[in-house]
Order: sequence, then structure tokens, then C-alpha cells
Amino acid sequence: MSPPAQEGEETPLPPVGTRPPLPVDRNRPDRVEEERTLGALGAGPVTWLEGEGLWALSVDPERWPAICRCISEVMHHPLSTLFGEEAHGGIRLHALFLGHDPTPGVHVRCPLHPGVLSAPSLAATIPFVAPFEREVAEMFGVTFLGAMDRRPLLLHERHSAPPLRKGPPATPTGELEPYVFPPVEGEGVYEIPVGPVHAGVIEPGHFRFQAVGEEILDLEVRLGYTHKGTERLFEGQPVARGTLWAESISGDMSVAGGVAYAHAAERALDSRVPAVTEAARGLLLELERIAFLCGDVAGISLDVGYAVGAARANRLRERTYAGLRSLTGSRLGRAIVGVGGFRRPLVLGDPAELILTLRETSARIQALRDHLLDKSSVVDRLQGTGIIHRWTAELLHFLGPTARASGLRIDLRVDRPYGPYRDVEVHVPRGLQGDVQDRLTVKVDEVVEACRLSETFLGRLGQGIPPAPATPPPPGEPREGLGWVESPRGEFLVYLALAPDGTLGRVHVRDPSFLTWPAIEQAVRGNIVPDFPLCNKSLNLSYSGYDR
Amino acid sequence: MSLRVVGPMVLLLLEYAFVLAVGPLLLSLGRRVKARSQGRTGSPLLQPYRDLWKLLGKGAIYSDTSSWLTRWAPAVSFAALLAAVPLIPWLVLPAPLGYVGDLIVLVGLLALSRFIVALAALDAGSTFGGMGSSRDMWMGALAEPVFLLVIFAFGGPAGSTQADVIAARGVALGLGYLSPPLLLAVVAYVLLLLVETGRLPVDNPATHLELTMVHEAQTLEYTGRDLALLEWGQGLKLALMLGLLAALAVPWGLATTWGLLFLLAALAVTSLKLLGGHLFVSGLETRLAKWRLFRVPDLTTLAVVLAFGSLALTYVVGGGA
Repeated sequence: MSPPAQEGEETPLPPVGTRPPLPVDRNRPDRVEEERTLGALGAGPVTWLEGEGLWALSVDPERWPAICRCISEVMHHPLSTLFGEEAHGGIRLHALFLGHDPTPGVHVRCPLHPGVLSAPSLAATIPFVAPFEREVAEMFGVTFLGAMDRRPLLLHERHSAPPLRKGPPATPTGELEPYVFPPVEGEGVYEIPVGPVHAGVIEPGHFRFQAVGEEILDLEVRLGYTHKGTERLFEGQPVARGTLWAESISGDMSVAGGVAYAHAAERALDSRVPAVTEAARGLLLELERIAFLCGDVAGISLDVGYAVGAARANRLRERTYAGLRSLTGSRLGRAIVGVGGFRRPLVLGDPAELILTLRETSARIQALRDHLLDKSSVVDRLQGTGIIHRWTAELLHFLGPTARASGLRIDLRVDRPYGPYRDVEVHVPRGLQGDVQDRLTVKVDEVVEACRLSETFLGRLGQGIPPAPATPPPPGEPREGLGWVESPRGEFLVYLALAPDGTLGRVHVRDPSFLTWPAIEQAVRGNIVPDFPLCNKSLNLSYSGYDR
Repeated sequence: MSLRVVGPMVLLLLEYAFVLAVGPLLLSLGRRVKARSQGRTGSPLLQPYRDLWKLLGKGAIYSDTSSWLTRWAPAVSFAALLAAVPLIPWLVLPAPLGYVGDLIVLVGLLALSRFIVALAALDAGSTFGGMGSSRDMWMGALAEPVFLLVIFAFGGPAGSTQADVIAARGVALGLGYLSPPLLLAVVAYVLLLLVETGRLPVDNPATHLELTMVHEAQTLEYTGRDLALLEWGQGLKLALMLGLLAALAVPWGLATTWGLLFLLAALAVTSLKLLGGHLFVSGLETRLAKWRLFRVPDLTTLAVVLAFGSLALTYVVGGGA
């Protein structure tokens, strides 16, 4: 007989999905201390943004790296997004460090000195800041001093002016200097350029592999082929219309984009949304999550060449989309979420039928997972493929199911509860190893949880939700708002600032894929070339969300 | 000309017509089985013929960086496969041109077909072609020794490597032909068939993921009639491999006497054998995921072991032919 486990001794980890939440980091300062820490930085007055639950402060470019470093390393708030804004006749940088409940997080603004288009880079402090700075550099013409990577990010052509600056729209004027992929040298090393046009019908992206035989040494992804200038399209539009563009950021996360934008706009307008509307939004968000993640399961199954499993998962996905369609009139839940409520009435036909579908989906996706993990030829492909270590996921701030499969417990529905999630308990599944199999099981567990949440939210609805447009703001004072949603791919952020005339001034959208795309580069190292599509599908990142 | 000359020629033409026609049908049948397993109806059975007709009517476009190799390869590959057709008894015994070569020639012809396509895929200089060629040649290197071993396992008891001689022995022996060494050889051959024809645990003919492709990657550069020849060639190769299996494993039903009735009966029996064999292979495919590329040697190793077992049973335990 084995001796009973001693008190305090490390007990073996329970299986995936049933682990207790991590204890709150005791080194993390609480809210009061946080204010004191920020005050001690001498950065100027610290204000509290009630709607967002964030500290806000303004720094000059000289102190920008030091302050950001302190927030990132001392206060342990990861950088969520960094973007530029042209306002009050100058360029302003914004950095958002979104903390996790109960610690708030910080919104740092940094107005550049008039006439000086440069700022010190954060590259020495924050390892994943390069894409943010590269984007600001090409979109606003700002030079980051000390940046190691100065290649363009999204633009593939030279432009007449930095595209996000005020003024007439920028037009392409010619070719950029050649984009350099760092070469790998050695005997037998060769490059495989793939894309942007692929053999299947998928979004465009260029993948540059460095390989020896079939083994991948390194991969670099170049995107930007679907850049549409969406952030600029928002500008000058009425606030209420913005949801339409926010939904188009990543079409498969339309509801998440729309709700994140609506939250930002509602905070900017100080408008309150009734609880029943929030529950209805929660229902749409969870239905979208179910359909999306069932699609992911289908994709993984298809990419290991097991078409029967893919067919079963795709059937569940389409049934959920059919449910979304009967509720909203749109398969993807498009053009239904509005600022202040809904753009059109939400039709609740027969809730009993929806509940039945949800329960069946929940049972069937679990049966499918068991079926897949029972097949040796499938498991052999999934296990140990595309491993993303926990510390890599944490260091590079990957989001959503990808991070959770690597063992991180991040989920905005729990960390910064919003709307309908304030009074429900959300179970956050996690993986142990971060391989494709963990991502599959985490996704299945999330579908099951989403089915349960959908049923909860469905129970809070009456018979149909009437549209309730928010009142347009009185012109005058500057207003801004931040919205966040845990989309199927993770943290989806929308920041918006209104122009003095009440239309949209600057809108910044940070799709989770923007932070998570580098995960593919980490996942495939040491894997063989034919396993790349499987790694890619298990992450299922959005090209359009990255490019905007 | 006497009937002794014209008869075999007519018969050969009939066999060619049969094999060329049945190849696309086999491909289509496989797709049908897979579609049904996924709850889809699938495309009509005649779709591959329509596709071939469409492709044959189209011109070909070649990359600027390609040479004569790209232009000639599909025809050479197709011709090599056509040349292999008379080596197998399809309808009658002995096969009308069976004496021109044995199964070692058949292995060589299949290798030639594989080699020329692999070479042409390198020609245009696209990455995927090179990758597909590298993988295909690697699989070929694994499969060909096994193929020879399996042929020896089948041919050992008959003391010949000629397909119609082996089949004739089977027909003569009746059910007495069935033996443990034969069963081992059949299983080894089925494993080999999966590798040679690029079926599922080895290669996924339905994939659109260029980085996982083996055979598809080599045909990416081709359009029009060249693509038609390559796709038809795939069907032909499948028919050849299944036809050989039918002749060696279940030779009964081949006509040994001349006569229209016997011929028609043989046609029906051979068709049934091919369709049945392919239904089995496709059924296997629906139950398997694609294996990781470097698991393919496991499959061929197993085939080697089985073929060796068959040979050992014949020569050591059974005391030879």
C-alpha cells in the first residue's frame, strides 16, 4: 500500500479540464499599492478610468521605456496593445497593459514632442513588441530608436504618406525595398517559400521555412496581404455604424468583434445596456464560440487525413450556425449587434429546440473527441506535434485556446468579466503540454462549457429582444472607450476615441491573432514539414484579423 | 492473316480498352465510398471521365523555366504504364503477350513511370515539385525491394516470375492453391499497394495542403492534356496494382479456353475482383488517418517481414516448389 499523500505535498495533476484555478500571484500588488507604485514613477498625475477599470497616465517620450518596463516587469501586466493616434496636431502613442482581476492594468499615453517623429523602442523590455512598433512606424511614420526589426509589417508597397495620418488617403507609389528573411546557413539547409497563394481555398499569407530534409529549423510568417485599412475606414463615421467594420475584422468572429466595439462605444457614450440585452449578447458570443471551435476540431481532423471525424464536427458547426441564423437572420451573426443594444430585433423562436441542439452538440463533440483519441493513427499525429511551451506562451503573450492549451489560465470572461459574465462562473480548461492534442481537447472542453453558458443565458431571455439604439453623444468634450471580449481566439480589444463632432475619431482594433501569430513560428520548430498544416490548423489564426 | 495472329491482337486491344476504362471508374468508386462515409452523396460515378474529357480538350501551359522534360514526362509515364498492361493476365490464360516480360519488368516499368514524373517535377524549379519528388523517390526506394520480394513470394511455388504462369498454376490447382505462404504474400502485397498507389495512411489524394502532398505536389505544375494523362495514369496504376493482385491471389475465373462466352464471363469476374478489391482498400482508407511521413517505413518493414515469412514457409518449411 502506498502511504497517504502528505499535507501540502504536490499531488499529481488531475486530468485536463478539471484543474483548480491557479492561486492569485501574491507578489502582485493590489489596487492601492498599484496606484502608489505608479505615483512613485513620477510620471505625473494618475487617473482612474471607472468604465474600463484602468489607471491612466501620460508620459513624455524620454520616460516611455522606463515606465512601460516598470509596468511590465514590476507590476506584471503584459502589454496588450500598442498603437498610435494623431490628435491635437501631434502623434500620440498608446500602450495598454491589461491586468487581470483584481489588479486593473494601465493605459499609458505618450505624446511625441511636436515636430519630432521618433520615440525610444520598447524592444529591449518587451520581447513581442516588434510587430506593434513596426505597424506604428509604417502607419504613422514614427521612427523607433533602438528597434531591431525595422521592416514594414502590413504594407507591401511604398505609400504617398503614412496611411493612418490625417489628410488625404495615401496611395501606393511604388515598390518597397526587398523584404529580407533572415537566412539560415549550413550544409543541406534550404528555404521553402509557401504562399501567399495556396493550393487550398484559404486566406493569403507567406511562410518562409528554413529546413534540412523534412525537418523545420525555422519559420517566419509574412502577412499583410489582406490589409484593407479598416482602422482608417472607421474615421468620420457615425458611432452606431462602427459595429459593421468591427465585425469584418475577422469574419468568423463577427459577434465578438461587434460586441467588443459596442462595449467600447457604450463606455465612450456612458450608455448602460439592460441585463437582458447583455444576456442575449452572451448567447450569441457563446454560439459563435461553439461553431468556431467545432470548425477547429473539424480542421484538425481533416488535416490528419481523417475525413470522417471532420464530417462529424462540421455537422455540429453547421447546426450551430443554423441556430445563430434563426436567431439573428445571419449565419455568422452579422449586423445584429449594435451600440446600446441590437440593430434588429432578436427572434427567439423555440428555445426548447435550441436547448436540445446545445445539449446534443455538447454530447456529440465529447463523443467525437473520445472517438478521435481512441484511434491510434490519429493520436500518433496529434501527440507531441507542434509543442508550445508554457513559458514561451507566457513570454510572448499568446492568447485564447492556444495559451490555455499550453497551461496558462487566461480568459477575459474570468480575468476581466464583462457584460453577462459578471455573475456566471466560467470553467477554464487548460492543457499540460501545449501540443496539438492539448489544443484539441481544450477546444472540445470549451465547446462543452460554451454549450452550458449558452443555456444559462438563454434562460435569462424573454421572448425576443427589441433593438435599442444608443443616443448619439452631444458634441464637445473628448470621449474615448475601451472594449474587450474573449473571442473564440482570445482577447479581442477595441479602442475608440470620438472626434469633437461626435463621429469616430480614431479606432484601434487588436485582434487576438495579432499577438498569437508568432505561436506558429514557435510551434513548428523541430517538426517535419508535412506536419506544418496540422500545427497551423490547431492554432487557426486569422489573417484578416492581423492585417485589418 | 490467320486467327492465330489476329485473335491475340484483338484480345489485347480488348484488354487495353478494359484497363483504360476501368481506371477512372476505380478512382471514382473510391471517392464515392469516402463521400458516403462522411455523410455526403459524392460526385457521380462518371465524373472522372468527364474531367478527363475536359482536360484533354484543353491546351497545356508550361513554366518559362521548364525544359523538354516537363513536356515529355506525362506521355512517357503514361506509356510506361501502358507497356505494363500486357504483363498481367486480365481475361485469358496464357496472357496474349504475357511472354514478353515477367513481373520484374513490371516493377521496372512502374519505377520508370515514377522516375520520369519525379524528374519532371524538379524541372520547373518549384518548391513543391522538388519536395514531392524527394518524398516519392524515398517511398519508391522503400517500396521497390519489397515489391520484388513479394513477387518472389508469389512466384516461388510456381518457379516463375511471370504473372500468367503463376495464375495458371492457381487455376490448375483450384482451391488447393490457397496456402499460408500465399496469404502472407497477399497481406504484404496489400500493404505495398497502399504505398505504391498513394492511398491513405501514406498519401492523401484528396488533400489541398501543399506541404503534405506527395504525388499531388508533382502534378501541381501541369494543366490540360498533360494533367489528364497524369490523372489517367493514376487510375491506370491503381488498375494495374489491383489487377495483379487479382491475378496472383484469386486467379480463378480467367478464361483458359477461347470463346466469346468465356471471355464475357472473364470480363465480369475480373471487373468484380477489381471493384471488390478497391472497395476494400477505400473502406480501409476511411478508417485511417494519414500517418506521419516517417512512419511509412513501418508499413514497408511489415510488408518485408510478411514476404520473407511467405518465402521461408515455401522454401524452408514446405521444402521448396
